[in-house]
Amino acid sequence: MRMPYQCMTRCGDILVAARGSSIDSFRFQDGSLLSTWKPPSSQDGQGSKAPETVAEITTKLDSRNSESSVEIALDAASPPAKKRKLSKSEESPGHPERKNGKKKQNNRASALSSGLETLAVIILASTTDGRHVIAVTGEDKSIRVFENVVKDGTQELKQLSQRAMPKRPCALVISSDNSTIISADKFGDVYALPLFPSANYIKSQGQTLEPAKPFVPAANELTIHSQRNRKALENQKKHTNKVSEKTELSFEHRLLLGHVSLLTHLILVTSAKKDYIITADRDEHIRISRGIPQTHIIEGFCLGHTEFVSRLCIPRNRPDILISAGGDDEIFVWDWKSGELISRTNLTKHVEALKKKLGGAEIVDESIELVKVAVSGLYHTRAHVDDHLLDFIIVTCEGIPALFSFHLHLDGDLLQDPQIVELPGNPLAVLTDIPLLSEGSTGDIVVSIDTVHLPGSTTVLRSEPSGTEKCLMIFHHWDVGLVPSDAAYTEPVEDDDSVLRSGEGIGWLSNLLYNLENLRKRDGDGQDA
Amino acid sequence: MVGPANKRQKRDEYKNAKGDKPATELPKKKFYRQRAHANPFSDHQLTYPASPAHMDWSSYYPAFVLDTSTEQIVPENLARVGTGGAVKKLKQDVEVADIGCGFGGLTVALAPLMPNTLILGLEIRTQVTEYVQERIRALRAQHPGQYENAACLRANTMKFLPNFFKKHQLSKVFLCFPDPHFKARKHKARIVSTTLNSEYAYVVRPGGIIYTITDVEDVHNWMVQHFNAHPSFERVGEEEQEADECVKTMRVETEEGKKVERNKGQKFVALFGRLEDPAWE
Ligand SMILES: C[S@@+](CC[C@H](N)C(=O)[O-])C[C@H]1O[C@@H](n2cnc3c(N)ncnc32)[C@H](O)[C@@H]1O
Repeated sequence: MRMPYQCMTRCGDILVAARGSSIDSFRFQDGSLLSTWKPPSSQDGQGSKAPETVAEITTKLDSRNSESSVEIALDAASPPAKKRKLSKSEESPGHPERKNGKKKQNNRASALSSGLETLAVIILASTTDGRHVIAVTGEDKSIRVFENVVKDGTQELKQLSQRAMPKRPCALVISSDNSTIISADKFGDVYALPLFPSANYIKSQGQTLEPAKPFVPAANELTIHSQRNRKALENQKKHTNKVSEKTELSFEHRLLLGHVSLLTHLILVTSAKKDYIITADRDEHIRISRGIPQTHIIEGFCLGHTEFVSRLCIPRNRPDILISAGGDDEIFVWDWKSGELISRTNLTKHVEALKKKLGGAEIVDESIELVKVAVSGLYHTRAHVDDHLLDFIIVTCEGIPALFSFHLHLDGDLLQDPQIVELPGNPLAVLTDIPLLSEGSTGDIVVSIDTVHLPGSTTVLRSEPSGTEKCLMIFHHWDVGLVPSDAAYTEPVEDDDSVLRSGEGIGWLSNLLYNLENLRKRDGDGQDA
Repeated sequence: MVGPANKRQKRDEYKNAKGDKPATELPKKKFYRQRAHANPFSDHQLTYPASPAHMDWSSYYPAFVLDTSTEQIVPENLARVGTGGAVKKLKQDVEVADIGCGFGGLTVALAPLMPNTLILGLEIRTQVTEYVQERIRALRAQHPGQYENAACLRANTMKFLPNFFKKHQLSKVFLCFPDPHFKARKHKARIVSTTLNSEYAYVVRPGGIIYTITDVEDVHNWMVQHFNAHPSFERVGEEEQEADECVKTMRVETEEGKKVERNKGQKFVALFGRLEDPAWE
């Protein structure tokens, strides 16, 4: 069985894609595999083979604007998401599983106890100059910066730094000047870090927004007057208050802004020469803040979603339009500066129609239940159609084996009827704006396919896999729409698929690939105590 | 669970019997008590409007409804796509918020002080919110024409302030005797933090004021540090502070303030003015 790619980014001429804890680099031009990075293994204590010499960076790298693409994955094994119910390992693959099975299991814990290597790459991004790749590994909450070392036709990712964040990052972008990493975490905070950690960082200079907070006893009996406060004080005395020291980061960072929620996505945009940060959260909010250095000023909100917002997208040629989606049935298009809603487009009905069409054989779970959609990707792409350069928004939903490609009109309305491209498996990530692969092709994209689970299911495994399925598919955009290409990547032969041989491993993978539905609020959650 | 079964039963009996009592009778606090702390991070089954334009205030401030005949007012900013729900408009917006209003002492005390201003208490605990609502209902019945400008609703203000209030809508925000959350691990649960202060700055207009009071010196220092660290706020000088009538009210009319008074404890007050936003950098 092959480990699928959960996230991808374009780094100049190179496609960088992560499967589990490994990062593969491919040359766009011919699809050849250039290198594979693996995290230092805990057993042998040494990392991926260090390059003998620090290769100089070739300037031949394509420096066309490669928008740093961001894939996010949330910590499904932690609150507020309920633990994902996973299929029992003895359950024979291919058999329907009740969606709301009563089994409870902490996949991460059990995966760890079974000795599983669980350091998964959950986010990839790259600088527009193609020189650096940034990866977030989930379990250790670390932001890792790599140099994309290209020399004499060989390429390698060389890890330059590793910084462990206080909370698990959920989304990450690089500033347009490639100097700063901006990371949003599952506790709602957004931090800025320099791409390269400065060697002479002095701790206390850390945060701008945060005042220095020396620990002083919070209260004494004289200042406490109510029963509740007295109890709280007693509590405090029992616990040694070392936390503030522990959370102090040993590298330069600035707290830019924060939501009291779980952040799902963040994008940067410049409009009329002004920089903005746009953040989305689990509590239906889209917040518009000023860019660095005035991120403490909230300019507005785009409010109207009634379920979690999981993805934001601003077409690069139309920076005044924001597209958002998540757990709602509809995709929203905003004039984000005024907060005004421009249009809403129903997505669920297309998903429903597709599910019906694919029928019971393939769509095993949820088919009878009310269809709930969790948008996992919103991507903008441009393509020539009948000699007109048009804008498209490609939408993917968790566990739905298709791409929905909506034409974005000039007035900001999405065309109601998308092109629906059926896929041989659930899409995990899409990369648009890739270098064109052949003469005359336009709007080429790469789609990562889940080859482990059945198409249409986030829990049920495929029966014995042939091992020949491709994890990465390329599409051209012709006049008729997206069409699969013959081009392919030389995907590495799986060297260690032990992860996929255990129930824990499968549960871990399922959590890694599908965690958005967990963001939905349930009736009875967080009961008032 | 709200409490032992017999306690709950008594409460239900009390509330069911309320219909038989005169409307002017003030509610009894003991039937509305609730565990002291509600977790601001959990979901709570809260109800809140998708946006301020979706909020129907008419049942909270019936005396301020613009014109009862115009029921079908669709919020302008959503008119193009429709919201599915129409709301009755008020003559004016809420301008004063008492955040974490508890049993509502301050909310109702402010009402006669500024009879032409709409005052809203926001409280996360259901029982406590209900108590304040009953209290206001009784006060309105006792004093016809008064207390129409005060109301209380249940909300987790740490998450949903921008759902209720538009940008710069408020002129005054009160943060009175906030839960102290002593443990450092719990500091993220404090109602004042630099990141949350950005939301207060968003809902409060330049020139508006944030009022804080606490009996816990550390919490006072915390609030001062965090508002001072935020570029949108500047502490109000002592003279101006003591001249402000709301400060007097806040000291004596909040339930917590009264408790502290009885125990002869200290009260720490700090006010912060909302500055104009600077030019873009
Ligand atoms: C110590 S009491 C003070 C009550 C009142 N202000 C007074 O001075 O008497 C703090 C109140 O804040 C409420 N509270 C805490 N977190 C809240 C939140 N996120 N949203 C709304 N209310 C909150 C608590 O339920 C509690 O009633």
